[in-house]
Amino acid sequence: MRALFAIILLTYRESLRKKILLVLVLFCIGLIVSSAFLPAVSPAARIKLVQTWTFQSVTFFGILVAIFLAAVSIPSDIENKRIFMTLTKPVTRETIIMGRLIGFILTTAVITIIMAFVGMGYIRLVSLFSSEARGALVVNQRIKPDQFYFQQAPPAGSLNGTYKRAEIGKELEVSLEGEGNNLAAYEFSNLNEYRFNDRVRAEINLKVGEGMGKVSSTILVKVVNPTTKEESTQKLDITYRRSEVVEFDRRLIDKVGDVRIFLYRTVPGSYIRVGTDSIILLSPQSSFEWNFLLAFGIVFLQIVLVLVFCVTCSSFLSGAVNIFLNMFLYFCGSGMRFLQDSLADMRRMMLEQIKREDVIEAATQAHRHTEGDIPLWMMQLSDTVLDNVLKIIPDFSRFDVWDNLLKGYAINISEYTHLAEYIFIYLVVMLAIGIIAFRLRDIK
Amino acid sequence: MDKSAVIETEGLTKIYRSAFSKFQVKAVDDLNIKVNRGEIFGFLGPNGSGKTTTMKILLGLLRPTSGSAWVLGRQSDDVAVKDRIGFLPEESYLYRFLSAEETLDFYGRIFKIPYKERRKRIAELIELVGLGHAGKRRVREYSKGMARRLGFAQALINDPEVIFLDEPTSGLDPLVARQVKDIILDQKKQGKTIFMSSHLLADVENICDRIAILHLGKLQKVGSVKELISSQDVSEVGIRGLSPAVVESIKGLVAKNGGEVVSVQPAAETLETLFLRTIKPESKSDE
Repeated sequence: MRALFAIILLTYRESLRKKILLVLVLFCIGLIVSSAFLPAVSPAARIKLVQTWTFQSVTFFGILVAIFLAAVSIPSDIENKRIFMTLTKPVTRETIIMGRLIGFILTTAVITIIMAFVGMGYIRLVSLFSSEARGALVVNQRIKPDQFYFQQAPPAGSLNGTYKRAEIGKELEVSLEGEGNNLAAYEFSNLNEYRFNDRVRAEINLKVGEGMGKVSSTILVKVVNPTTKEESTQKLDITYRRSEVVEFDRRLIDKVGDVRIFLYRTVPGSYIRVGTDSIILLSPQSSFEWNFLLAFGIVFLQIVLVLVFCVTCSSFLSGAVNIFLNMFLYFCGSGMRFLQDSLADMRRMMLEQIKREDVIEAATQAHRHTEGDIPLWMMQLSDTVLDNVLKIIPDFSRFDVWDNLLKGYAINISEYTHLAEYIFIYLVVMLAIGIIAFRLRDIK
Repeated sequence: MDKSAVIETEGLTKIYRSAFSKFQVKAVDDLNIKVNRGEIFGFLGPNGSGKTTTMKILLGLLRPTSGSAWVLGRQSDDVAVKDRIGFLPEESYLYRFLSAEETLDFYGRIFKIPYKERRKRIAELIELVGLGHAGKRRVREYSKGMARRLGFAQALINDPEVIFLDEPTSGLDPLVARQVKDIILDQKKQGKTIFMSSHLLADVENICDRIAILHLGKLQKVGSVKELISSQDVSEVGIRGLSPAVVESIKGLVAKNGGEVVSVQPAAETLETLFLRTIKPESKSDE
């Protein structure tokens, strides 16, 4: 245990005394400070800009610091033969890996905490100059509906149904269209445990359109108190996929904390695509600081995952190769959603091609593929390879919380549990690989 | 395994293989040596003879291809052995961002030396190696000699029973080299076993009890320094009372001129002559 502590302390001292850390931290602070002087249309937009720059700068430089310190540490010890001095002492190779990993986690934790407080202080400082800016820092808890109903006009009416959140399990999206009356309804329960102002805010996210090419429409939003049947209705102009906020009276939430919200089409022939989370209630929370710190906590978890890869791979790779590999993994992992969407598109194309080839084959009685298409076997091979590669690469897009900060959404503590579980799996697998590789390695 | 031996190898062989070709090098070939408690054992050989590879196997840094290596009665890669050994590599590979005190503190912590004892030991060692004036300076500011002395101090931090020294005096000025040799002799007086490799034959001749000469991975000679450098076919005659002009004369002329033969004993060649004579035939066959 003392050997482990000695290596942790060594790593901590080494990191703090390296010039690259100081350079990156100063550069990061420079970026944060400069963000307040960028052009912005309003004080609220400026504060959001400062917030985004602060968060993105700390994330980016945090990852860079993690990679540049941790990826070269063990390889540099081996290359400069300092490892001889350590390995000839009563210390196991796994202790070196664990000590290095914990040391770097400790170092980056200290840096992240300092940067989070510097960033937070700076945002508060900039917000002091405008009440509008202070208002933009409000954080809202997002409350998703407990039940979702929809009613479609014939002939699609067979899809009518009621969906409870617990039973849905995944996102569901249906299209309300045609000439008849149809609607979507959302039921929220147990709202008494949340805080609301006199005017309750609800965010509406829909895909709407009217005929060919027009991607906006007007809908009706009706809010009903389920007990007193008191209601309020308002018209809302919606543009495709752009979220809008409506407000209703706090009294429309009944005594047990339930409220129902209905969405109707107003224009015959228009369509609205609704999903389980198309309406979300926003419950204001007082502490922007707490939310900001939670966001940095998630950034730190992301850095921990990078460190796990850097330190374990450093037991068998050279420093330069390890930096390159981890940069690659981080950028691929950050674009994981895009990569997965691309894979899904590729699968759709593949299925379409299979159908086309079946048709041609049936008509001509001969096996052939459409001219100009990529051969099917190549698509299938790419699909298999890409699918398996994406399973190995860590999904850093899971840690993406800057959108929450930008829109003022509260970050739930429960997200930490999911992310910690995700990291733990990589930690166990990568440590096992790193320790075995390091044990088998001859130190020449 | 001989239980009286502090270090022992049996049929020790190490082959380096290239990962991408059939090329391989036998760095150590069927090496059998024993080092007894309390002796200074010199390990000699030209560059590439397998000295460092053997030492790395004894220190558990490399795994042998075949054969065995024991230190203090345990397999050399056993972590428990490392509590009782000290190692000074050829260059002092130190963390340049640490000071001498921090360096010794780091290694002291690894040996689980309690805080108070560690502070005392660090102060003693820094004085012993003559770095009292520079204990708080970062290693990056040290000269080669100072780094070497600090390297020596870290090898002694755990008061080891066996000390491995790889070229302990190479590249040092005569004064520092003398200090290092004094420390080695002092450790021997304290009953420590010392296993050292060196190119500096005069140093080995001065301080080693026994030596082994290694060439192309094979053990060429092993024995006490005196034994190995004695020559059986040449006699040394000690003469007293003659003028320098007569010294050129042969033994018969000594008596004829009324001189006195005070001793007749086997003459010793230098270790350097022995070393060159040992490795020369093999070197020629290589060419």
